Amino acid sequence: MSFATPSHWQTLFVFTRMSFEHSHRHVGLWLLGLTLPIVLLSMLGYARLLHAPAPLTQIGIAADLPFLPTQLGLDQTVFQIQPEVSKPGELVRRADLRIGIERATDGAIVVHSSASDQPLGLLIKQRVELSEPGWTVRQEIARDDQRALQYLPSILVISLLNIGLLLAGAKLSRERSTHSLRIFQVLPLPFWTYVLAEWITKLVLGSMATILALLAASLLMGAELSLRQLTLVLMVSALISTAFIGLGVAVACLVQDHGRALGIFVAVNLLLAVFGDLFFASEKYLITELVALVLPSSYGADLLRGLILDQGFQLAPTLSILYLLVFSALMFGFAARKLGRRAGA
Amino acid sequence: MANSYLVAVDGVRLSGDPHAALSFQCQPGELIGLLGPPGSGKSALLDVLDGLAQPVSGSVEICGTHPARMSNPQKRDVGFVFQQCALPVHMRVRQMLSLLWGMVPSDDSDLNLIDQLGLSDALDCVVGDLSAALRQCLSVYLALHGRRRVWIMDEPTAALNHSQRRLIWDCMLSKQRRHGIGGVIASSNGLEVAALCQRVYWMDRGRIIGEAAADMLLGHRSMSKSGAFASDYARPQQAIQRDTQQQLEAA
Repeated sequence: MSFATPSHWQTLFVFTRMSFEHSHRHVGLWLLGLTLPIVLLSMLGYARLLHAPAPLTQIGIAADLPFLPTQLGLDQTVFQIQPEVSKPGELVRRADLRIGIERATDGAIVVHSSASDQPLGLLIKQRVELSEPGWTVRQEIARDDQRALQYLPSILVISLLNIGLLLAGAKLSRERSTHSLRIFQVLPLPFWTYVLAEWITKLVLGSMATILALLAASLLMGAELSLRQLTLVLMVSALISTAFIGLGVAVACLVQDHGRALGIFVAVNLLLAVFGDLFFASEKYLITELVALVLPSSYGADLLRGLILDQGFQLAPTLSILYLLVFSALMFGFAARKLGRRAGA
Repeated sequence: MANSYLVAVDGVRLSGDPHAALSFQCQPGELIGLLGPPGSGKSALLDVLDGLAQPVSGSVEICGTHPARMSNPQKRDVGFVFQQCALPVHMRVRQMLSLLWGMVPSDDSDLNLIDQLGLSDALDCVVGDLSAALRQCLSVYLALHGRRRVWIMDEPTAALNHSQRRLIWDCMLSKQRRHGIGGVIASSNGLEVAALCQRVYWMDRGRIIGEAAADMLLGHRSMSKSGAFASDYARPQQAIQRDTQQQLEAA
Protein backbone atom coordinates (compact mmCIF):
# COMPACT_ATOMS: atom_id res chain seq x y z
CA MET A 1 0.00 0.00 0.00
CA SER A 2 1.27 3.44 -0.78
CA PHE A 3 -0.22 6.75 0.13
CA ALA A 4 0.94 10.13 -1.02
CA THR A 5 0.76 13.18 1.20
CA PRO A 6 -2.11 15.28 -0.16
CA SER A 7 -1.76 18.98 -0.79
CA HIS A 8 -4.75 21.31 -0.51
CA TRP A 9 -5.45 20.69 -4.18
CA GLN A 10 -5.40 16.94 -3.67
CA THR A 11 -7.76 17.35 -0.73
CA LEU A 12 -9.97 19.40 -3.02
CA PHE A 13 -9.77 16.65 -5.64
CA VAL A 14 -10.78 14.01 -3.09
CA PHE A 15 -13.77 16.08 -1.96
CA THR A 16 -14.78 16.78 -5.55
CA ARG A 17 -14.63 13.10 -6.38
CA MET A 18 -16.65 12.33 -3.25
CA SER A 19 -19.25 14.84 -4.38
CA PHE A 20 -19.45 13.23 -7.83
CA GLU A 21 -19.75 9.86 -6.11
CA HIS A 22 -22.76 11.25 -4.24
CA SER A 23 -24.33 12.39 -7.50
CA HIS A 24 -23.62 8.99 -9.04
CA ARG A 25 -25.41 7.29 -6.16
CA HIS A 26 -28.40 9.60 -6.36
CA VAL A 27 -29.05 9.29 -10.08
CA GLY A 28 -32.65 10.41 -9.74
CA LEU A 29 -31.70 13.79 -8.33
CA TRP A 30 -29.17 14.80 -10.94
CA LEU A 31 -31.19 13.25 -13.73
CA LEU A 32 -34.05 15.47 -12.63
CA GLY A 33 -31.75 18.49 -12.68
CA LEU A 34 -30.43 17.69 -16.15
CA THR A 35 -33.61 16.55 -17.85
CA LEU A 36 -36.10 19.00 -16.36
CA PRO A 37 -35.34 21.74 -18.93
CA ILE A 38 -35.63 19.19 -21.76
CA VAL A 39 -38.99 17.97 -20.47
CA LEU A 40 -40.27 21.55 -20.15
CA LEU A 41 -38.96 22.47 -23.60
CA SER A 42 -40.55 19.36 -25.10
CA MET A 43 -43.88 20.32 -23.56
CA LEU A 44 -43.46 23.84 -24.90
CA GLY A 45 -42.49 22.50 -28.32
CA TYR A 46 -45.51 20.22 -28.35
CA ALA A 47 -47.80 23.10 -27.43
CA ARG A 48 -46.26 25.14 -30.22
CA LEU A 49 -46.72 22.25 -32.64
CA LEU A 50 -50.42 22.19 -31.89
CA HIS A 51 -50.72 25.86 -32.85
CA ALA A 52 -53.48 26.43 -30.39
CA PRO A 53 -55.45 29.39 -31.80
CA ALA A 54 -55.43 32.49 -29.64
CA PRO A 55 -58.89 33.79 -28.73
CA LEU A 56 -57.93 37.37 -29.64
CA THR A 57 -55.51 38.42 -32.37
CA GLN A 58 -53.69 41.69 -31.82
CA ILE A 59 -53.04 43.77 -34.92
CA GLY A 60 -50.80 46.82 -34.55
CA ILE A 61 -51.02 49.59 -37.15
CA ALA A 62 -48.40 52.32 -37.49
CA ALA A 63 -49.30 55.95 -36.78
CA ASP A 64 -48.85 57.00 -40.44
CA LEU A 65 -51.83 54.84 -41.44
CA PRO A 66 -54.54 56.50 -39.27
CA PHE A 67 -57.49 55.59 -41.49
CA LEU A 68 -56.62 51.91 -41.92
CA PRO A 69 -58.18 50.60 -38.67
CA THR A 70 -61.64 51.70 -39.77
CA GLN A 71 -61.11 50.79 -43.42
CA LEU A 72 -60.16 47.23 -42.60
CA GLY A 73 -63.45 46.75 -40.80
CA LEU A 74 -62.34 43.69 -38.87
CA ASP A 75 -64.60 42.02 -36.33
CA GLN A 76 -63.44 43.39 -32.98
CA THR A 77 -64.58 40.34 -31.06
CA VAL A 78 -61.67 38.37 -32.52
CA PHE A 79 -59.32 41.14 -33.72
CA GLN A 80 -57.95 43.74 -31.35
CA ILE A 81 -56.80 46.68 -33.44
CA GLN A 82 -54.06 48.81 -31.86
CA PRO A 83 -53.72 52.11 -33.78
CA GLU A 84 -50.65 54.41 -33.76
CA VAL A 85 -48.23 51.67 -32.79
CA SER A 86 -44.53 52.50 -32.99
CA LYS A 87 -42.44 49.99 -35.03
CA PRO A 88 -45.10 47.24 -35.36
CA GLY A 89 -42.65 45.06 -37.37
CA GLU A 90 -40.23 45.02 -34.44
CA LEU A 91 -43.05 44.15 -32.05
CA VAL A 92 -44.04 41.17 -34.22
CA ARG A 93 -40.42 40.00 -34.23
CA ARG A 94 -40.37 40.23 -30.44
CA ALA A 95 -43.65 38.29 -30.23
CA ASP A 96 -45.46 41.24 -28.64
CA LEU A 97 -47.86 41.48 -31.61
CA ARG A 98 -49.21 38.85 -33.99
CA ILE A 99 -49.77 41.11 -36.99
CA GLY A 100 -48.11 44.47 -37.60
CA ILE A 101 -48.90 46.90 -40.44
CA GLU A 102 -46.64 49.84 -41.38
CA ARG A 103 -45.48 51.83 -44.38
CA ALA A 104 -42.04 50.92 -45.71
CA THR A 105 -39.51 53.51 -46.94
CA ASP A 106 -40.42 52.71 -50.57
CA GLY A 107 -44.05 53.69 -49.85
CA ALA A 108 -45.45 50.15 -49.88
CA ILE A 109 -47.62 48.87 -47.07
CA VAL A 110 -45.98 45.96 -45.26
CA VAL A 111 -47.94 43.37 -43.31
CA HIS A 112 -45.67 41.66 -40.78
CA SER A 113 -46.43 38.29 -39.29
CA SER A 114 -44.50 35.41 -37.81
CA ALA A 115 -43.99 32.20 -39.79
CA SER A 116 -46.68 30.45 -37.78
CA ASP A 117 -49.14 33.27 -38.58
CA GLN A 118 -48.30 33.34 -42.29
CA PRO A 119 -51.85 32.41 -43.52
CA LEU A 120 -53.43 34.99 -41.23
CA GLY A 121 -50.92 37.61 -42.48
CA LEU A 122 -51.82 36.74 -46.07
CA LEU A 123 -55.54 37.24 -45.36
CA ILE A 124 -54.88 40.62 -43.74
CA LYS A 125 -52.70 41.60 -46.73
CA GLN A 126 -55.56 40.78 -49.12
CA ARG A 127 -57.95 42.72 -46.89
CA VAL A 128 -55.68 45.81 -47.06
CA GLU A 129 -55.42 45.45 -50.87
CA LEU A 130 -59.22 45.30 -51.12
CA SER A 131 -59.70 48.36 -48.91
CA GLU A 132 -57.19 50.47 -50.95
CA PRO A 133 -56.90 48.93 -54.46
CA GLY A 134 -54.22 51.39 -55.62
CA TRP A 135 -51.70 50.50 -52.94
CA THR A 136 -48.74 48.22 -53.20
CA VAL A 137 -49.03 45.77 -50.33
CA ARG A 138 -46.55 43.04 -49.46
CA GLN A 139 -46.19 40.51 -46.70
CA GLU A 140 -43.03 40.02 -44.61
CA ILE A 141 -42.43 37.04 -42.41
CA ALA A 142 -40.56 37.87 -39.20
CA ARG A 143 -38.13 35.33 -37.82
CA ASP A 144 -39.83 34.04 -34.69
CA ASP A 145 -36.85 32.49 -32.90
CA GLN A 146 -37.56 34.83 -30.03
CA ARG A 147 -41.15 33.63 -29.76
CA ALA A 148 -39.96 30.03 -29.63
CA LEU A 149 -37.27 30.79 -27.10
CA GLN A 150 -39.37 33.10 -24.97
CA TYR A 151 -39.38 30.77 -21.96
CA LEU A 152 -35.92 29.26 -22.44
CA PRO A 153 -34.21 31.75 -20.04
CA SER A 154 -36.76 31.04 -17.32
CA ILE A 155 -36.50 27.28 -17.85
CA LEU A 156 -32.72 27.52 -17.59
CA VAL A 157 -32.95 29.52 -14.37
CA ILE A 158 -35.39 26.97 -12.86
CA SER A 159 -33.06 24.16 -13.85
CA LEU A 160 -30.02 25.84 -12.27
CA LEU A 161 -32.12 26.61 -9.20
CA ASN A 162 -32.96 22.92 -8.83
CA ILE A 163 -29.30 21.95 -9.09
CA GLY A 164 -28.28 24.56 -6.51
CA LEU A 165 -31.03 23.86 -4.01
CA LEU A 166 -31.97 20.22 -4.48
CA LEU A 167 -28.51 18.84 -5.26
CA ALA A 168 -25.97 21.02 -3.44
CA GLY A 169 -28.22 22.10 -0.58
CA ALA A 170 -29.94 18.78 -0.01
CA LYS A 171 -26.62 16.89 -0.05
CA LEU A 172 -25.10 19.17 2.55
CA SER A 173 -28.24 19.05 4.65
CA ARG A 174 -28.21 15.22 4.57
CA GLU A 175 -24.54 15.15 5.55
CA ARG A 176 -25.19 17.54 8.40
CA SER A 177 -28.12 15.53 9.70
CA THR A 178 -26.17 12.25 9.55
CA HIS A 179 -23.18 13.93 11.25
CA SER A 180 -20.78 12.88 8.50
CA LEU A 181 -19.28 16.38 8.40
CA ARG A 182 -18.13 15.99 11.99
CA ILE A 183 -15.03 14.07 11.01
CA PHE A 184 -13.92 16.85 8.66
CA GLN A 185 -14.49 19.43 11.36
CA VAL A 186 -12.12 17.71 13.78
CA LEU A 187 -9.48 16.75 11.22
CA PRO A 188 -6.72 19.28 10.54
CA LEU A 189 -7.80 20.10 7.00
CA PRO A 190 -8.78 23.41 5.38
CA PHE A 191 -12.56 23.34 5.34
CA TRP A 192 -12.83 25.71 2.37
CA THR A 193 -11.76 22.80 0.15
CA TYR A 194 -15.02 21.02 1.00
CA VAL A 195 -17.15 24.03 0.01
CA LEU A 196 -15.08 24.64 -3.13
CA ALA A 197 -15.49 20.99 -4.17
CA GLU A 198 -19.27 21.30 -3.84
CA TRP A 199 -19.21 24.43 -5.99
CA ILE A 200 -17.07 22.81 -8.71
CA THR A 201 -19.23 19.67 -8.88
CA LYS A 202 -22.53 21.49 -9.11
CA LEU A 203 -21.09 24.04 -11.52
CA VAL A 204 -20.20 21.19 -13.88
CA LEU A 205 -23.74 19.81 -13.57
CA GLY A 206 -25.20 23.29 -14.11
CA SER A 207 -23.11 23.80 -17.25
CA MET A 208 -24.17 20.37 -18.54
CA ALA A 209 -27.83 21.26 -17.92
CA THR A 210 -27.36 24.56 -19.80
CA ILE A 211 -25.71 22.86 -22.78
CA LEU A 212 -28.42 20.19 -22.90
CA ALA A 213 -31.17 22.81 -22.71
CA LEU A 214 -29.61 24.83 -25.54
CA LEU A 215 -29.23 21.69 -27.63
CA ALA A 216 -32.85 20.76 -26.96
CA ALA A 217 -33.98 24.30 -27.88
CA SER A 218 -31.99 24.06 -31.09
CA LEU A 219 -33.44 20.65 -32.03
CA LEU A 220 -37.02 21.20 -30.92
CA MET A 221 -37.48 24.84 -31.82
CA GLY A 222 -34.84 25.51 -34.38
CA ALA A 223 -33.17 28.13 -32.22
CA GLU A 224 -30.05 29.62 -33.75
CA LEU A 225 -27.59 31.19 -31.34
CA SER A 226 -24.24 32.54 -32.43
CA LEU A 227 -21.00 31.26 -30.87
CA ARG A 228 -20.67 34.55 -29.01
CA GLN A 229 -24.21 34.17 -27.61
CA LEU A 230 -23.54 30.55 -26.58
CA THR A 231 -20.31 31.49 -24.81
CA LEU A 232 -21.94 34.37 -22.96
CA VAL A 233 -24.97 32.24 -22.00
CA LEU A 234 -22.62 29.58 -20.56
CA MET A 235 -20.69 32.20 -18.59
CA VAL A 236 -23.87 33.77 -17.23
CA SER A 237 -25.34 30.37 -16.35
CA ALA A 238 -22.15 29.62 -14.38
CA LEU A 239 -22.66 32.85 -12.48
CA ILE A 240 -26.33 32.05 -11.81
CA SER A 241 -25.36 28.49 -10.75
CA THR A 242 -22.84 29.94 -8.31
CA ALA A 243 -25.50 32.14 -6.73
CA PHE A 244 -27.98 29.26 -6.40
CA ILE A 245 -25.38 26.78 -5.10
CA GLY A 246 -24.43 29.40 -2.51
CA LEU A 247 -28.09 29.81 -1.60
CA GLY A 248 -28.58 26.03 -1.27
CA VAL A 249 -25.48 25.60 0.87
CA ALA A 250 -26.41 28.57 3.08
CA VAL A 251 -29.96 27.29 3.66
CA ALA A 252 -28.54 23.83 4.49
CA CYS A 253 -26.27 25.45 7.07
CA LEU A 254 -29.19 27.16 8.77
CA VAL A 255 -31.27 24.03 9.36
CA GLN A 256 -29.92 20.89 11.02
CA ASP A 257 -32.88 18.63 10.31
CA HIS A 258 -32.86 17.18 6.78
CA GLY A 259 -36.65 16.91 6.47
CA ARG A 260 -37.16 20.51 7.50
CA ALA A 261 -34.40 21.62 5.14
CA LEU A 262 -36.12 19.87 2.21
CA GLY A 263 -39.36 21.70 3.06
CA ILE A 264 -37.50 25.01 3.06
CA PHE A 265 -35.83 24.17 -0.27
CA VAL A 266 -39.23 23.56 -1.87
CA ALA A 267 -40.58 26.83 -0.39
CA VAL A 268 -37.55 28.83 -1.61
CA ASN A 269 -37.85 27.13 -5.01
CA LEU A 270 -41.50 28.17 -5.29
CA LEU A 271 -40.79 31.69 -4.06
CA LEU A 272 -38.11 32.20 -6.70
CA ALA A 273 -40.17 30.55 -9.45
CA VAL A 274 -43.29 32.62 -8.75
CA PHE A 275 -41.84 35.98 -7.71
CA GLY A 276 -38.47 35.79 -9.43
CA ASP A 277 -39.62 37.36 -12.72
CA LEU A 278 -39.45 34.03 -14.53
CA PHE A 279 -42.90 33.18 -15.85
CA PHE A 280 -45.07 35.89 -14.33
CA ALA A 281 -44.51 39.56 -15.09
CA SER A 282 -43.29 41.06 -11.84
CA GLU A 283 -43.76 44.67 -12.97
CA LYS A 284 -47.53 44.34 -12.83
CA TYR A 285 -47.69 45.31 -9.14
CA LEU A 286 -45.32 47.45 -7.13
CA ILE A 287 -44.98 44.83 -4.38
CA THR A 288 -44.09 42.00 -6.79
CA GLU A 289 -41.64 44.29 -8.56
CA LEU A 290 -39.94 45.11 -5.26
CA VAL A 291 -39.81 41.42 -4.25
CA ALA A 292 -38.36 40.51 -7.66
CA LEU A 293 -35.60 43.08 -7.20
CA VAL A 294 -34.40 41.23 -4.08
CA LEU A 295 -34.36 37.77 -5.68
CA PRO A 296 -31.31 36.57 -7.63
CA SER A 297 -33.47 34.78 -10.21
CA SER A 298 -34.72 38.14 -11.55
CA TYR A 299 -31.19 39.28 -12.34
CA GLY A 300 -30.19 35.91 -13.79
CA ALA A 301 -33.30 35.66 -15.97
CA ASP A 302 -32.84 39.23 -17.23
CA LEU A 303 -29.25 38.53 -18.24
CA LEU A 304 -30.25 35.33 -20.04
CA ARG A 305 -33.23 37.00 -21.76
CA GLY A 306 -31.00 39.78 -23.00
CA LEU A 307 -28.49 37.28 -24.39
CA ILE A 308 -30.79 34.59 -25.78
CA LEU A 309 -33.69 36.71 -27.07
CA ASP A 310 -31.39 39.55 -28.09
CA GLN A 311 -33.96 42.13 -27.11
CA GLY A 312 -31.99 44.28 -24.66
CA PHE A 313 -31.75 44.14 -20.88
CA GLN A 314 -34.39 45.51 -18.50
CA LEU A 315 -31.75 45.93 -15.79
CA ALA A 316 -28.22 47.14 -16.45
CA PRO A 317 -26.09 44.01 -17.09
CA THR A 318 -23.33 45.37 -14.84
CA LEU A 319 -25.83 45.71 -12.00
CA SER A 320 -27.11 42.15 -12.53
CA ILE A 321 -23.60 40.67 -12.62
CA LEU A 322 -22.56 42.65 -9.56
CA TYR A 323 -25.69 41.61 -7.67
CA LEU A 324 -25.12 37.91 -8.45
CA LEU A 325 -21.45 38.15 -7.47
CA VAL A 326 -22.20 39.87 -4.16
CA PHE A 327 -25.07 37.47 -3.43
CA SER A 328 -22.81 34.44 -4.10
CA ALA A 329 -20.00 35.85 -1.96
CA LEU A 330 -22.40 36.48 0.93
CA MET A 331 -23.94 33.01 0.73
CA PHE A 332 -20.64 31.15 0.44
CA GLY A 333 -19.04 33.32 3.12
CA PHE A 334 -21.90 32.53 5.49
CA ALA A 335 -21.74 28.81 4.69
CA ALA A 336 -17.95 28.56 5.06
CA ARG A 337 -18.11 30.40 8.36
CA LYS A 338 -20.96 28.29 9.67
CA LEU A 339 -19.43 24.97 8.55
CA GLY A 340 -15.88 25.70 9.58
CA ARG A 341 -16.97 26.85 13.00
CA ARG A 342 -17.97 24.51 15.75
CA ALA A 343 -20.04 25.24 18.84
CA GLY A 344 -18.64 28.00 20.99
CA ALA A 345 -15.96 29.09 18.54
CA MET B 1 -7.58 26.02 34.40
CA ALA B 2 -3.98 24.88 34.41
CA ASN B 3 -2.47 24.19 31.02
CA SER B 4 -0.63 21.07 32.19
CA TYR B 5 -3.84 19.06 31.94
CA LEU B 6 -4.57 17.29 28.68
CA VAL B 7 -8.30 17.53 29.27
CA ALA B 8 -9.91 19.85 31.78
CA VAL B 9 -13.63 19.91 32.46
CA ASP B 10 -14.61 22.74 34.77
CA GLY B 11 -18.12 23.10 36.17
CA VAL B 12 -19.80 21.82 33.00
CA ARG B 13 -23.57 21.55 33.27
CA LEU B 14 -25.33 19.60 30.53
CA SER B 15 -28.82 20.48 31.80
CA GLY B 16 -30.48 23.18 33.85
CA ASP B 17 -29.87 21.22 37.06
CA PRO B 18 -27.67 23.51 39.21
CA HIS B 19 -26.29 20.53 41.17
CA ALA B 20 -25.14 18.67 38.06
CA ALA B 21 -21.84 20.42 37.43
CA LEU B 22 -19.10 18.13 36.10
CA SER B 23 -15.46 18.81 36.91
CA PHE B 24 -12.40 16.64 36.36
CA GLN B 25 -8.97 16.84 34.85
CA CYS B 26 -6.91 14.39 32.90
CA GLN B 27 -3.14 14.23 33.27
CA PRO B 28 -0.77 13.21 30.44
CA GLY B 29 -0.74 9.42 30.12
CA GLU B 30 -4.03 9.05 31.97
CA LEU B 31 -7.16 7.69 30.34
CA ILE B 32 -10.41 8.48 32.07
CA GLY B 33 -13.39 6.20 31.59
CA LEU B 34 -16.99 7.37 31.71
CA LEU B 35 -19.44 4.64 32.61
CA GLY B 36 -23.16 4.91 32.92
CA PRO B 37 -26.53 3.80 31.59
CA PRO B 38 -27.91 5.15 28.30
CA GLY B 39 -28.99 8.76 28.72
CA SER B 40 -26.63 9.37 31.60
CA GLY B 41 -24.89 12.22 29.77
CA LYS B 42 -21.67 10.49 28.64
CA SER B 43 -22.13 11.24 24.96
CA ALA B 44 -23.43 14.75 25.69
CA LEU B 45 -20.25 15.47 27.65
CA LEU B 46 -18.14 14.06 24.83
CA ASP B 47 -19.97 16.24 22.31
CA VAL B 48 -18.90 19.20 24.43
CA LEU B 49 -15.33 17.87 24.47
CA ASP B 50 -15.48 17.44 20.67
CA GLY B 51 -16.42 21.12 20.39
CA LEU B 52 -19.63 20.20 18.57
CA ALA B 53 -21.98 21.24 21.39
CA GLN B 54 -22.00 23.90 24.04
CA PRO B 55 -22.73 23.20 27.70
CA VAL B 56 -25.34 25.16 29.65
CA SER B 57 -22.48 26.54 31.71
CA GLY B 58 -18.86 25.77 32.49
CA SER B 59 -15.93 25.28 30.19
CA VAL B 60 -13.72 22.59 28.73
CA GLU B 61 -10.17 22.67 27.44
CA ILE B 62 -8.09 20.19 25.50
CA CYS B 63 -4.35 20.84 25.69
CA GLY B 64 -5.15 24.28 27.09
CA THR B 65 -7.48 25.33 24.27
CA HIS B 66 -11.22 25.31 23.78
CA PRO B 67 -11.85 22.37 21.41
CA ALA B 68 -13.79 24.52 18.94
CA ARG B 69 -10.91 26.96 18.65
CA MET B 70 -8.14 24.46 18.04
CA SER B 71 -5.79 25.29 15.21
CA ASN B 72 -4.93 22.65 12.59
CA PRO B 73 -1.60 21.74 14.31
CA GLN B 74 -3.51 21.31 17.59
CA LYS B 75 -6.12 19.14 15.88
CA ARG B 76 -3.33 16.76 14.87
CA ASP B 77 -2.79 15.98 18.57
CA VAL B 78 -6.33 14.85 19.21
CA GLY B 79 -8.02 11.68 17.99
CA PHE B 80 -11.83 11.62 18.04
CA VAL B 81 -14.24 8.71 17.80
CA PHE B 82 -17.92 9.65 17.61
CA GLN B 83 -20.77 7.48 18.81
CA GLN B 84 -22.90 8.23 15.77
CA CYS B 85 -21.12 7.19 12.61
CA ALA B 86 -19.46 10.36 11.41
CA LEU B 87 -17.77 8.97 8.33
CA PRO B 88 -18.50 10.41 4.90
CA VAL B 89 -20.40 7.61 3.18
CA HIS B 90 -19.49 8.61 -0.37
CA MET B 91 -15.71 8.55 0.12
CA ARG B 92 -13.55 5.54 -0.59
CA VAL B 93 -11.53 4.05 2.26
CA ARG B 94 -8.28 4.68 0.37
CA GLN B 95 -9.19 8.36 -0.11
CA MET B 96 -10.08 8.74 3.54
CA LEU B 97 -6.81 7.15 4.65
CA SER B 98 -4.85 9.15 2.11
CA LEU B 99 -6.32 12.37 3.48
CA LEU B 100 -5.51 11.33 7.03
CA TRP B 101 -1.97 10.26 6.25
CA GLY B 102 -1.28 13.61 4.68
CA MET B 103 -2.50 15.49 7.69
CA VAL B 104 -1.28 13.44 10.64
CA PRO B 105 2.29 12.04 10.74
CA SER B 106 2.12 8.27 11.00
CA ASP B 107 3.47 5.89 13.57
CA ASP B 108 5.41 2.69 12.79
CA SER B 109 2.57 0.41 13.83
CA ASP B 110 -0.16 2.12 11.79
CA LEU B 111 0.25 0.14 8.57
CA ASN B 112 0.12 -3.16 10.44
CA LEU B 113 -3.01 -1.99 12.16
CA ILE B 114 -4.73 -1.39 8.80
CA ASP B 115 -4.03 -5.02 7.89
CA GLN B 116 -5.01 -6.35 11.27
CA LEU B 117 -8.31 -4.48 11.26
CA GLY B 118 -9.15 -5.91 7.85
CA LEU B 119 -9.16 -2.49 6.22
CA SER B 120 -6.50 -3.38 3.64
CA ASP B 121 -9.05 -5.55 1.78
CA ALA B 122 -11.59 -2.73 1.75
CA LEU B 123 -9.39 0.10 0.48
CA ASP B 124 -11.35 0.56 -2.74
CA CYS B 125 -14.74 0.25 -1.09
CA VAL B 126 -16.97 3.24 -0.56
CA VAL B 127 -17.38 3.87 3.17
CA GLY B 128 -21.17 3.63 2.87
CA ASP B 129 -20.83 0.04 1.61
CA LEU B 130 -18.74 -1.15 4.59
CA SER B 131 -20.22 -3.31 7.32
CA ALA B 132 -20.93 -1.59 10.64
CA ALA B 133 -17.90 -3.31 12.19
CA LEU B 134 -15.52 -2.25 9.41
CA ARG B 135 -16.88 1.27 9.57
CA GLN B 136 -16.17 1.37 13.27
CA CYS B 137 -12.69 -0.09 12.67
CA LEU B 138 -12.04 2.75 10.21
CA SER B 139 -13.45 5.30 12.62
CA VAL B 140 -11.19 4.06 15.42
CA TYR B 141 -8.21 3.86 13.08
CA LEU B 142 -8.66 7.54 12.20
CA ALA B 143 -8.34 8.37 15.89
CA LEU B 144 -5.48 5.96 16.64
CA HIS B 145 -3.38 6.88 13.62
CA GLY B 146 -0.21 8.84 14.28
CA ARG B 147 1.26 10.22 17.46
CA ARG B 148 -1.67 11.78 19.23
CA ARG B 149 -1.58 13.30 22.68
CA VAL B 150 -5.28 13.00 23.47
CA TRP B 151 -8.09 10.59 22.65
CA ILE B 152 -11.73 11.55 22.99
CA MET B 153 -13.71 8.40 22.25
CA ASP B 154 -17.37 7.59 22.50
CA GLU B 155 -18.15 3.84 22.49
CA PRO B 156 -15.09 3.12 20.34
CA THR B 157 -15.63 -0.65 20.03
CA ALA B 158 -19.38 -1.06 20.46
CA ALA B 159 -19.93 -2.68 17.03
CA LEU B 160 -16.87 -4.93 17.09
CA ASN B 161 -16.44 -8.60 17.92
CA HIS B 162 -14.17 -9.69 20.73
CA SER B 163 -11.03 -10.27 18.66
CA GLN B 164 -11.31 -6.91 16.91
CA ARG B 165 -11.95 -5.26 20.25
CA ARG B 166 -8.94 -6.98 21.79
CA LEU B 167 -6.79 -5.90 18.86
CA ILE B 168 -7.79 -2.29 19.26
CA TRP B 169 -7.29 -2.35 23.00
CA ASP B 170 -3.80 -3.81 22.56
CA CYS B 171 -2.95 -1.13 20.05
CA MET B 172 -4.30 1.59 22.30
CA LEU B 173 -2.40 0.31 25.33
CA SER B 174 0.80 0.01 23.34
CA LYS B 175 0.47 3.55 21.96
CA GLN B 176 -0.47 4.92 25.33
CA ARG B 177 2.60 3.39 26.93
CA ARG B 178 4.90 4.67 24.17
CA HIS B 179 3.52 8.19 23.76
CA GLY B 180 1.87 8.89 27.11
CA ILE B 181 -1.52 9.50 25.55
CA GLY B 182 -4.37 10.63 27.78
CA GLY B 183 -8.01 11.36 27.25
CA VAL B 184 -11.59 10.39 27.91
CA ILE B 185 -13.37 7.22 26.83
CA ALA B 186 -17.12 6.85 27.25
CA SER B 187 -18.33 3.27 27.18
CA SER B 188 -21.08 1.09 28.46
CA ASN B 189 -18.64 -1.82 28.49
CA GLY B 190 -17.08 -2.14 31.93
CA LEU B 191 -14.44 -4.51 30.63
CA GLU B 192 -13.29 -1.96 28.05
CA VAL B 193 -12.97 0.75 30.66
CA ALA B 194 -11.19 -1.63 33.02
CA ALA B 195 -8.78 -2.65 30.28
CA LEU B 196 -7.91 0.83 29.07
CA CYS B 197 -8.53 3.45 31.72
CA GLN B 198 -6.75 4.43 34.89
CA ARG B 199 -9.68 6.28 36.42
CA VAL B 200 -13.41 5.78 36.07
CA TYR B 201 -16.35 8.09 36.63
CA TRP B 202 -19.86 6.70 36.98
CA MET B 203 -22.39 9.08 35.44
CA ASP B 204 -26.13 9.26 35.84
CA ARG B 205 -28.60 11.95 34.72
CA GLY B 206 -25.82 14.35 33.77
CA ARG B 207 -24.01 14.02 37.08
CA ILE B 208 -20.91 12.20 38.26
CA ILE B 209 -22.11 10.01 41.07
CA GLY B 210 -18.88 8.19 41.80
CA GLU B 211 -15.23 7.89 41.00
CA ALA B 212 -12.85 4.98 41.23
CA ALA B 213 -9.59 3.54 40.02
CA ALA B 214 -10.20 1.23 37.08
CA ASP B 215 -8.96 -1.95 38.79
CA MET B 216 -11.83 -1.56 41.22
CA LEU B 217 -14.07 -2.73 38.38
CA LEU B 218 -12.38 -6.10 38.59
CA GLY B 219 -13.08 -6.17 42.31
CA HIS B 220 -9.46 -5.69 43.32
CA ARG B 221 -9.99 -2.42 45.16
CA SER B 222 -12.78 -0.59 46.92
CA MET B 223 -14.48 2.28 45.25
CA SER B 224 -14.43 5.80 46.67
CA LYS B 225 -17.71 7.58 46.46
CA SER B 226 -19.42 10.77 47.24
CA GLY B 227 -21.49 10.54 50.41
CA ALA B 228 -24.39 12.35 48.80
CA PHE B 229 -24.87 9.61 46.22
CA ALA B 230 -23.79 6.62 48.29
CA SER B 231 -27.14 4.83 48.11
CA ASP B 232 -27.40 5.39 44.35
CA TYR B 233 -23.95 4.12 43.89
CA ALA B 234 -23.96 0.77 45.63
CA ARG B 235 -26.04 -0.98 42.97
CA PRO B 236 -24.13 0.30 39.93
CA GLN B 237 -20.84 -0.72 41.55
CA GLN B 238 -22.02 -4.28 42.11
CA ALA B 239 -23.59 -4.43 38.67
CA ILE B 240 -20.43 -3.28 36.95
CA GLN B 241 -18.29 -5.73 38.92
CA ARG B 242 -20.65 -8.57 38.03
CA ASP B 243 -20.85 -7.61 34.35
CA THR B 244 -17.11 -7.16 34.06
CA GLN B 245 -16.42 -10.52 35.69
CA GLN B 246 -18.91 -12.18 33.33
CA GLN B 247 -17.32 -10.55 30.30
CA LEU B 248 -13.87 -11.65 31.52
CA GLU B 249 -15.05 -15.22 31.91
CA ALA B 250 -16.67 -15.16 28.48
CA ALA B 251 -13.47 -13.78 26.95
